[in-house]
Amino acid sequence: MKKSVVAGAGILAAAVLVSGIALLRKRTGAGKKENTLRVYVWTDYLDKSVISEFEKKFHAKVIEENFPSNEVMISKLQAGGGGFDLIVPSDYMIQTMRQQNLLMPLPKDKIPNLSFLSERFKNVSYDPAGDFTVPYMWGTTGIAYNSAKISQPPSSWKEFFDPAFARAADKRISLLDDPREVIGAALKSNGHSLNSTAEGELSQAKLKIINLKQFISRFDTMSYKDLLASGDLWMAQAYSGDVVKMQAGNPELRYVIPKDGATLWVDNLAIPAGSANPQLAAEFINFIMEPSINSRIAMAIRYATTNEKARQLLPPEELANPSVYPPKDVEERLELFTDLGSSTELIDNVWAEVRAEDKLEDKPADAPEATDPPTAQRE
Amino acid sequence: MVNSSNPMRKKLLLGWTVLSLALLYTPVFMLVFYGFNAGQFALRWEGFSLRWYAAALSNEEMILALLNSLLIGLFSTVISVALAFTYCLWAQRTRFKRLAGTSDSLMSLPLFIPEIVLSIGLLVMIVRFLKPAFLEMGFNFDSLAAVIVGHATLAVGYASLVLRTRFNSYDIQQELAARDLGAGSRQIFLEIMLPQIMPGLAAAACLSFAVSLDDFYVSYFLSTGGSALKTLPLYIWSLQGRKAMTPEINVVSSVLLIVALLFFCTGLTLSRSRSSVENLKGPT
Amino acid sequence: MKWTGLPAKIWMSLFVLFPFVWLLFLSVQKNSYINQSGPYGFSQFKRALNPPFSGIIVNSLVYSFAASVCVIGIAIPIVRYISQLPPRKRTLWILLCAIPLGLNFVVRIYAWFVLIRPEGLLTLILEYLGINSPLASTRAGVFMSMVYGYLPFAFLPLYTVFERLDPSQTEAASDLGAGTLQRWRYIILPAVVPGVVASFIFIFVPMLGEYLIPKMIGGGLVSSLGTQIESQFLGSTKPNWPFGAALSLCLLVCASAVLFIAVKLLPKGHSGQKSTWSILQIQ
Repeated sequence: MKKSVVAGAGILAAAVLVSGIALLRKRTGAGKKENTLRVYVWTDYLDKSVISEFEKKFHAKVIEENFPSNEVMISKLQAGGGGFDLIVPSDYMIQTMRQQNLLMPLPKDKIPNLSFLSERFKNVSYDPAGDFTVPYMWGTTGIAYNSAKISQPPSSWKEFFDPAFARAADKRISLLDDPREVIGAALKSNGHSLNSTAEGELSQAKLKIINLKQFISRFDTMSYKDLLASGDLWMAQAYSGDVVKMQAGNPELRYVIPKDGATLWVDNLAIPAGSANPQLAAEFINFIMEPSINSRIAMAIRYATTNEKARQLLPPEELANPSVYPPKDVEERLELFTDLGSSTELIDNVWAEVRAEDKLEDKPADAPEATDPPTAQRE
Repeated sequence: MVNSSNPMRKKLLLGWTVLSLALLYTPVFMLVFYGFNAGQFALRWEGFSLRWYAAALSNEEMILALLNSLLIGLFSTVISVALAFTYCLWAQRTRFKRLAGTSDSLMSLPLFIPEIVLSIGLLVMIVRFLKPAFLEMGFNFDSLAAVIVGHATLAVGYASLVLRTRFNSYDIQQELAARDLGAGSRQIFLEIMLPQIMPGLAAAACLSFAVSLDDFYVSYFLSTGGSALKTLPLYIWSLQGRKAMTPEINVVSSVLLIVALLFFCTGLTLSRSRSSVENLKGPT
Repeated sequence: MKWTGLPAKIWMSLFVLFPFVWLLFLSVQKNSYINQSGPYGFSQFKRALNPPFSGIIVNSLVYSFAASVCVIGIAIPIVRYISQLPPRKRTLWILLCAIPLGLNFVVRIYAWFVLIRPEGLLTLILEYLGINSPLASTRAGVFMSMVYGYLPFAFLPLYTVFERLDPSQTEAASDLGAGTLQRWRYIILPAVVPGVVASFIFIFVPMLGEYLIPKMIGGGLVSSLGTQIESQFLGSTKPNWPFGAALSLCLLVCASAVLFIAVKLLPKGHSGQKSTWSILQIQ
């Protein structure tokens, strides 16, 4: 019978296809869970050599994925995504994550190296007992600029948002792709708190950002640092370590902590609920809290460590670098984000409005192009 | 055909048609063409080479995405065709024609709802409801299962549309005659129904597979932006955001284009019944 | 055979209808960021229907409408031309029109994106013609891309109706002295309305919720209803599912309203069959 032959061939073909796919998936390591550590972390926030050392020592495979902002990270976790074993949220997001049961209590007995934490980070406000998080690195958000292109750099957020300064880097400015950071900077430029939810202050901040929008080329957290180094961007809202690290490749880069205040942030290691391999995650945390390893990471990523012992191992010139470890008087200007609760809606409204492109058209067609400002040295 | 229109008008129309279709095809042709680029960059031509095809073949991430796509396509096709077939069997025979009309609307709902809303509905439902329920029973309802379910839901609408038209031309008299002659249900199914419906089934399967391969929204949301599982379209999506785009993205795209086109065209040819071809919305 | 319809119906209720009930339930929660039910109220809808989101919704509606009209405007002459060709040529041409439907949407949009990038071919051509405006990351670019992306969806529904036009009618009309305009007004248009409405629906509804095009072409600088919804669930703002659900329902209401109006627009013979299924089978 011809038909049964056709049917048989069809079934056979399907069987071959299924088994072939299964075989290939196995070979490429899909679905292999044992001893794989999936890490969800900010871009360039772990040292590659440290990771491979860990992989060798624990016979494990580390898969790294990056997120551009705390908001994206928590979104993916809330949407049930990822199957990650280790995440690196910042201070202000942790309260929400705990309320949503997105974090797993840390197996502290598996992490003896916790004892190396500085006193300052042993009792943080967002997780007083340290049951869920381990402070990892801290830093600031400020202004980066290319000193070869910008002769009159802004020294404060007020100047950064001022068109007179921005015009010198027309279309070569980037802002972080992060609602709290961008709106926070604009709030600071008006002399308000990062965490203000007063409607008048927020709408002033909104106008400032929209006003600046005509000069910026992108909202970017993941790749702005490479564009800064390559000279595509001349000015950016930037994280401290990103700029310090890029100075090796482009010595013209400068980092300023604005006079009118800046963000201080602390990033933390945590194990998300639903992690397939919390044991290995704890091992990993312990491993990178090892002072010798931790200081190596700090020297690679150029952020300030929370680890007292590791700090003592750092070269003195690193500790004296004001961009990484700001002096006392500068530190007084810094402010932490706080969880705004339901007022976050106001921030989101401003963010939606700022991102809506239509405002970009408001740019007066004749004004900036014609008069090339003296501060800009075009290529 | 006699035509009253003047030749000038005809030429204008021809020109318009050629121009529009050229604009439709040019980007895709260029994309495929640049996959044979010898250079480092996706956008600068430096001579012919197959190196990026070799590179793509040894790229585990891409192979994995391709396999994911095929696997998801296969399973969702089986589910959607089975559902569509059993449904059409009922809809054709039921005495309650009005009920059949209402359920026809239900089946075609995914074709009319913006895909983003459909995906979000599925996401919310799976995360809040299905996943915990399955976990309770000791199963892990991962993103692979979620995307399969999503694609099947999307494809059922197309599959039942194709099958329904096929069933409309099904000759039920043959079946009744066979029954009178003493044929059993199995025999009737195998020897009368299946041969008549087969082309429709094959068409439905090909189209379901094509829908699954083409889908972006459902996979994007159910795999949480591709962080949990990458299908081939999601892999291409993730590549275009990277800093340096090598011609590898062109190669991957070409592979996807050809595989999907193959299934789409087979589906179209098999569903020769004209109305089903013409009513095809085509997946977004 | 009485039960065979059940699995499909259960499946669709579970995965299409039930999620909507769930979205409805989510959208009336007052708490935004915390996953707990109650207290209930319409505050999420209130927020969605006030600035800035009301503006984004209106924008999406206007741009999707304009783009759909453009798509249909481009497609009608093509389809008219093809329908007047001899049958064998006709098949070839309509196949050429149908093939892009089988080309992957993401790939097609990416291919287009390559052309309209700052160094892209199309940008260079436009520059040569003296049009010096960037296309990537602008609303104009997103609009063009929408038209490009959705053009293939218009051909088949339009072709079905144009193919059925009886040439003897138009001939008779012109014999009686009717001009082009009159022929279109009294003979062609009434006959093709169902196809135009069907293709409009196929294009407008998905366009309204489009996320991929504004995101890829707009580069995060163009907002649409789709990008706003995505951002509430997976995107750059803190996840706010109740609000995202409210926005999704607004999108759904807009889409249904348009669907309803479109069905109402159909000539009398069709208005009896209001089920969505019948639109698909318009001939």
